[in-house]
Parts: sequence; C-alpha cells; structure tokens
Amino acid sequence: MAKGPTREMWKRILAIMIAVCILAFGTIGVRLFGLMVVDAEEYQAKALSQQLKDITIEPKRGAIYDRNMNYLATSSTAWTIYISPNDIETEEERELVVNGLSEILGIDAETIREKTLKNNQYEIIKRQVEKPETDEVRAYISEHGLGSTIGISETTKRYYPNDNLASSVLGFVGTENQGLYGLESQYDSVLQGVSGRIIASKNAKGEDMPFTYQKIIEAEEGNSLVLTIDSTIQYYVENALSKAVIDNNVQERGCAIAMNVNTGEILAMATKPDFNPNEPFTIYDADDAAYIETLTGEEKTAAITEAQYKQWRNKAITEVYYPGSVFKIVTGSAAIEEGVVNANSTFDCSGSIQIADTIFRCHKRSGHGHQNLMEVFQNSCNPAFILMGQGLGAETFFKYFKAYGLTEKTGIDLPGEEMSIYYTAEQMGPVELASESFGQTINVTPIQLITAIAASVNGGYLVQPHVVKQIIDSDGNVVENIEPEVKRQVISEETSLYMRELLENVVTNGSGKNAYVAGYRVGGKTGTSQKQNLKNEDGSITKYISSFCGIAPADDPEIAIIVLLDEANVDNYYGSAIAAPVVGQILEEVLPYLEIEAVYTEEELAKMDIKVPDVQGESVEEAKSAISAAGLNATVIGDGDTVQRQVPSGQQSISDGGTVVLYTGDPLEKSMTTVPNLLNMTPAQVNSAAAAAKINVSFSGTGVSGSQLLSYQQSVAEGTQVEAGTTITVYFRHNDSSD
Amino acid sequence: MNTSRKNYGQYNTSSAYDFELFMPKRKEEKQGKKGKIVRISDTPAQKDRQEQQRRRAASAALRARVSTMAVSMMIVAMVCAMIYLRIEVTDASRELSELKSQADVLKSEENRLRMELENKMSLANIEEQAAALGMQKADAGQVSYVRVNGAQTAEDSDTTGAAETADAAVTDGAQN
Repeated sequence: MAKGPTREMWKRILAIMIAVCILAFGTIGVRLFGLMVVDAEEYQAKALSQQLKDITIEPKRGAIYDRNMNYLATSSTAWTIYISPNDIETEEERELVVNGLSEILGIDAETIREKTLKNNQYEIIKRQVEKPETDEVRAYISEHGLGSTIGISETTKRYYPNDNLASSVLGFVGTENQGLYGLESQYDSVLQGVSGRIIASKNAKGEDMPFTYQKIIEAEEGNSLVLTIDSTIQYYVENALSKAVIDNNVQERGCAIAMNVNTGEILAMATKPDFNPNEPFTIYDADDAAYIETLTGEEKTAAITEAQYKQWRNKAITEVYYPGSVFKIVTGSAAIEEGVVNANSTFDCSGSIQIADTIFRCHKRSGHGHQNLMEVFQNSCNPAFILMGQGLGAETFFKYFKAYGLTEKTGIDLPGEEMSIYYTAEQMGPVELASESFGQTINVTPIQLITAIAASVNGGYLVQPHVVKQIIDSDGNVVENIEPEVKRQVISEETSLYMRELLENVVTNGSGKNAYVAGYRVGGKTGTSQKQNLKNEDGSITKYISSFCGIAPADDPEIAIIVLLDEANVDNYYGSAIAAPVVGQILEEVLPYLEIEAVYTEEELAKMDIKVPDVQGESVEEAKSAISAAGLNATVIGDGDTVQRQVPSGQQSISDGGTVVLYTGDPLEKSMTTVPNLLNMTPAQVNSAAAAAKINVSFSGTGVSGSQLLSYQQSVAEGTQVEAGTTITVYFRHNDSSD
Repeated sequence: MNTSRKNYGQYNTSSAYDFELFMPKRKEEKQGKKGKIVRISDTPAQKDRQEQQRRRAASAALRARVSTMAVSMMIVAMVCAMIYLRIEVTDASRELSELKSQADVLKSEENRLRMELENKMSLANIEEQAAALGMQKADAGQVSYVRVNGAQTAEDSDTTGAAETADAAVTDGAQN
C-alpha cells in the first residue's frame, strides 16, 4: 500500500490550494481595495461621525458699559427647561411633571399640561431660567426619577441691570442671543464672538475618550462696547423727561438728547415712554395693552407687533418732525455769516407778513414792534426770520441747510436713522423759503437738529455724533478707539461766538426763561411747531410739537440738550412753558455733576435759600435764638430742655421764613403732617400753604425774576404723610406763551 | 509507475503483488533519532562528570526559567502600571473637566448676582430709598468749590458761598 500522497499528488493539491487561495483572497482583496481606496473618503467620514463627538462651544456675548465702565448690559449662563412628552408613560408621571414644574417655574399648570400631551420629544417649558430655579428643577428630577422626561440644556441670558435706562439706545437680544435692536443689533458682529468646538473620540456609549483623540478650538468671547453715554446724566434726563411726558399728557411720546458740542459724544439719549429690555416683548403702554386684549386672531397679532415696534422706536433718530422756531438758529446764523444781518440790524413786526399770496403770522398776533437782532431772537419773531430767509435767497439758504448736515443722515452708530424731508433750492419758491426760514415745512430728526445747533455754538464745526467710544476685548484691552470727528466748518468762529450771546439772551430775557439755572450761563431756543400733516376737517391744526434746545455754559458751551414733547394735551403747549423747564431741570442736576462751577450774582445770592443752623444738643432757648437770627421760625415739640433732634437737619437749605421743628423729648418721636397741594401757585402762595402745613419748601427754577411765576411740580405728592419740617422742592416756571 | 529497468518478466502474471516492490525507495527522513547507544558501564570519574553536567544543566534551566518569569512579571507589572496610570489620568481629566464646568457656572452665577446688586444699587432705587429715609439732595448753598492751583494746603478764604480759592502754599523755605 502507498504510505501517503505521491509527489504528483502533492503538486496537484498545491495547485488546487493556490487556486482556491487566489480566488478567495482575491475577492476579499478587491473588496478591501474598494473600501479602503475607492470609497475611502466616504467611510472615513462615516467612521468619524460615529467615533467623534462634535460639540459647539457658545461664545460669551460682550458686555456694554457706560463711559465710566458701569455695566449697562452683560450675559450670564442660564438654562432651558424642556420636556419629552413621548417619554411620559403614566398619568401619575404627567402630574408629577406638571405640578412640579408649575410650582418651581411659576408657569400655569394647564399650559404645561397641554405641552405634555403633544406628540414629540422636545417641548420647551421655559427659557433662560436662572441657577436657583434650575437647581430646584434638578433636585426635583433626581427626587422623582424624571431624568428621561424633563431635560435641562445650557444657554445664556442677557441682563440689563438698570432696567429701562437707555433702553431705546441699547436695544435688546432675541432668544438666540442675536441683537434685534439698538446697539445690540448695530454692533452684533462685534458683541457676538466666535463659537468654539470640541471634537473628541467617543466610545459606544457616547462617552468621551479624550486620550484617544481630542481637539479643542476655544470659543472667542465677544468684544465689549464702552459708550459715550453717562449713566448719571442719562438718569437725570430720563427722570425729567418722564415727569414732563406724564405732567403734560403727551400723546405721541417725548425724547431728549444730551450731547458734548465739541466732540459729538452723546451723553444721554432717551425716549419716553419706553420699555424694559429685560422683557422687551411685553407691552408697557397700558392703553395699548388694554386695546390688544379686546382683539383676537391675526388682528391681535398685528396690533401686538405694532405696539412693540412703537415702544422700541428711538424717537430721537427714527422720527422726523417740524423743528419750528428752534430751527431759527440755522437761519439766523446763516444770515449773520453772510452779512445779511448784524448786531445793528432792526426789524419791525406788525404781527404778520405777506410773502407772495400767503400771509404768515407771528405767534404774537399784535406784533413785537421795533426790534434789534438780539430782541428778534429773544422774541422768536416769525416775520423777522422770514425776512432773513428772503435776504439769504433760496440758494444760499439751502447751502447752509446742507452745510449744517440737514440734507443727509448724521451717520450716528445706531440703526434705523430716518432721513430728513426738505425742499431743494430749485424746488423752493418764496413761500417755501419763508416757511422753512422759521422751521415749518421741513422735517428733520432731533439728532440732526442738535448736531446743527452744536455746530452753531462750538466755533462753527459740524461734528460726528456717536454713541460708542471704544471697543475692548474680554481682558479689557482696547481693540478700537472711536475718535471725535469734525466733518466740516459751517460758520466762522466769530459768528459762532455771537450766536452764543444771542442764545444766552433768549434764556436770560426771552422766551427761554424757564430753562434758566441760577449760578450758570445757559442759552437756548424754544420751539412750538404745528403738525401740518395732521389738519382737522376744517383745515385748522391743533396738534403741536413743543421743543427746546439749551446750551451751557453759554460763554463756552460744553453740553447741548434738546427736549421734544410730541402732542402735549394741555392748555399751554408752548415750548417755552413745557419743554424749556425740562431742560432747566436737567441742567440744574447735570452742570454740578460735570463739575462746572456755579457763580452766583448778587441777586441770586440774595434769593438763595437759608442754611438751617445746626442746633442739635443745644438748649431750647439757644436753639430758638439761633433759628430766629437766621430768619427762620422754630416749632418745639416735647417738654425737654435740650434739642434731641431737628427737622430739617443742620446745613440744609430752606426758604426764608421757613419752619424748623425741634424735638426735645423722645428723639424717635415724629410729628407727622400731610403735604398740601402746591401747584399753580405763586411763590408767596406756596410759602403760605407750606407754613400752614408745617413743611418747608425749596424753590427751583426761579433764578430769574418774573411776574408770572407759577409752580408746576412738587417733589412730594399732595396727600403724602411726611414728618413736620420736611423740605419739599417746588418747581416754578414762567407761564409764557412764547414760541 | 516509475520502475527501474529490471527484468520483471517473472512477475508478468495475474498474481497479486506488493506494489511497494515497484515503488522507488523513498528516502526516509532522518528524525534525528539516533540509535540508542547503551553504555554498558561508566567509570566513577565519568559518573561524576555526568553528574556535574547534569547539575549544571539543571541549574541553567532553572535560571532560565526564573529569568523568563521575572521578565514576564516585569512586563505584566509595566502593563498594569500603564493601565493604572491611564485610569488615573482619565479620572483626573474628567474631574478637571467637571470642576472647570462648575467654575464656569459659578463665574456666571457671580455675574448674575453682581447684576442683581447693580439693579438694587441703581440710581432710581438709591433716590427712592434716600427719600424714604428723609434725605435730600445737596442744594446750591451746601456746595463749596475749592480751586487748587498747585497748592499744598487749602485755606478757606471766602465764606460767601461763592468759589473759595486755595492760596498757593509756597511760603518761605517751603519748597517741594
């Protein structure tokens, strides 16, 4: 028998095995070639997507600071609470979810219940939840084992710590932290930053395996803005404007701008009523909100949108208006520059003037009579300015109109700036020229007008208004400095110097008296313009815009403030009566804040309130003697011999003849009294009413003497219970009806 | 069938034959087997030598076994150490990541609380609280201006409530 395969057989076996191997491995080889070479990219991509975890790192949005590095807006981590309705298995679980989230998040239970009944895996319950509430939700999830039903994801929340302050300038962000209005929108690309990524290997469970592979691209935090806005000045402006809008029943909102006349930096910009950027979608106007509640469906949605846009709009830059007599600064300065008029020019006003077939009336129907240039500004005489316009001619008038920047947007770094409406030189006939000369017919924005007025008093230079002065990175390094820019010179320095004198005279002796601030040189111009686009059926116009633009110090202006009240629903709607006092109130606060020294005249010193002597701890007799010597009256409460406490306290100022309450018994004892009505009274009447109520008054706005001073505001409302001797500030104004 | 050229006529019958006879003789592979060599007897010296060789061989074999085991254990120990270190590093990395995440959250919370404080310290709130406490804003009569023009000390030279000027304090011998 053969003991094994023969050589031939081995050879045969070998050949067959080789053939089989070639066939088998060849097929595999071809397939491998296909997978690893031909389709390599596709499978690599699939493998990467399976093996790598790609997470986006949200960048932190930059902050917004005021010029003194106080926070106006900043971002912090917050969380979104969501549920997975499809994972709710039992009714008991649903109740747990509904009741727990409703109680912790303060949301109506039925709203949450509706969401739990939806057929999906992601329903947002509340966005931008802060850490304390989120921790409560986490604890609730852990306690009741709701990890598969309630979820928490990280997001960011924008904070505006001062609520409404500068809201129309700052704007707000949307749910994805994108800027939607104001500076948040204008500088969105600067504030947003750049998202980062984490790419890491993950195992079958989806957990990180950082040492197999991890690549981190750090997020770049957004840059921050440093504004020209001063929070303190902004507060003073908003305070005064807010009170004026309420007191004068303003129908179409009011606005105000405070600007550095030399640099164009906007120190404050306000529109009232406005909104809270922490909750921008809430309708704050009570009337609008009530009206919207009565609507349904699409009509309601449209009404909500309209109301929201109305409250967001920055009236100082997005709305044009007829500037009225404030525009006379442009006409007057142009006429002086061109030599059409000078200090020796005289004018006669009979109460009206006819140009072509149109009669233009002065606001003083009986006429101002014979006036010089100073008096023309002081009286805001319409016929005089019409004559100046005629003297300039359409072409020259338009040349200055254009040079003052009134034919173009200012280019301020805020969105939504509106364009002015005007006649060009070719379109201007004598009637149009006459109308424009005293500020009717043309439509400009408040920002255009204050920029032009700044140019008229700062030496003649048209500056670029701006709100941002620096861009800084997250470490505080300056990325960009925005320097003041002068566009061009409009009038000569001599003309500008004379304009300051003319405007100061308006406040000292003219229609701008209510803007006067004791100790300071203030200039300005009043304005009361008809809203010519809102004629009644009989052709009459009964809607007005009351405005005033003030400058201070008048001899070397640093600041200009314009206040505009649109459709004040009061008997005396003139700018001199309702807008000028607002500027006066603002300047009274702002000028000391800017450390501009007050220099009082003898007359002002004589009118200043008296400092209350500090008599605490003295005997009653000595105290009464000191108070009497100061021209004040003492009221003693208690039977003790020594003054334990006094109201007002020492060094406070009260008006001559005021009352000082001396407590001689229990120093905690208080004698209360009710604040009386102190409005629409002369100073003497106010003093009398205050003395009867045992309170003291401090007068504001009466630096200049006048026969028609009436009180229009009191710092503590009528009917409030206060301690006897408390000092209440009462504001006075001249009840002029001047344009 | 490859047969050598022999005379196979005698086999050309119908009888069965062992075909191995016709197959070429295969070379047997040498398996390394050596024939046993039986020693009939060794001398004592040879026996000693043999014993020594035997012991040396045993000793060498033991050393080889020990060193192999030692090397194996070292390798195992190194591998275990590497795995342990990796576990530690991974744990530490996870902890670092968690702490970093916590730090970010706390930083954010600090920011939020700072904003809450800023809100409470807003000018509107301060004014409201001050009024409630019976405080008043400083009026014009309570403000004094002191103009310092390179002076070292300020002397109150004017009490009318207007600006008070500080005299330059460069007196005799009093130089900076």
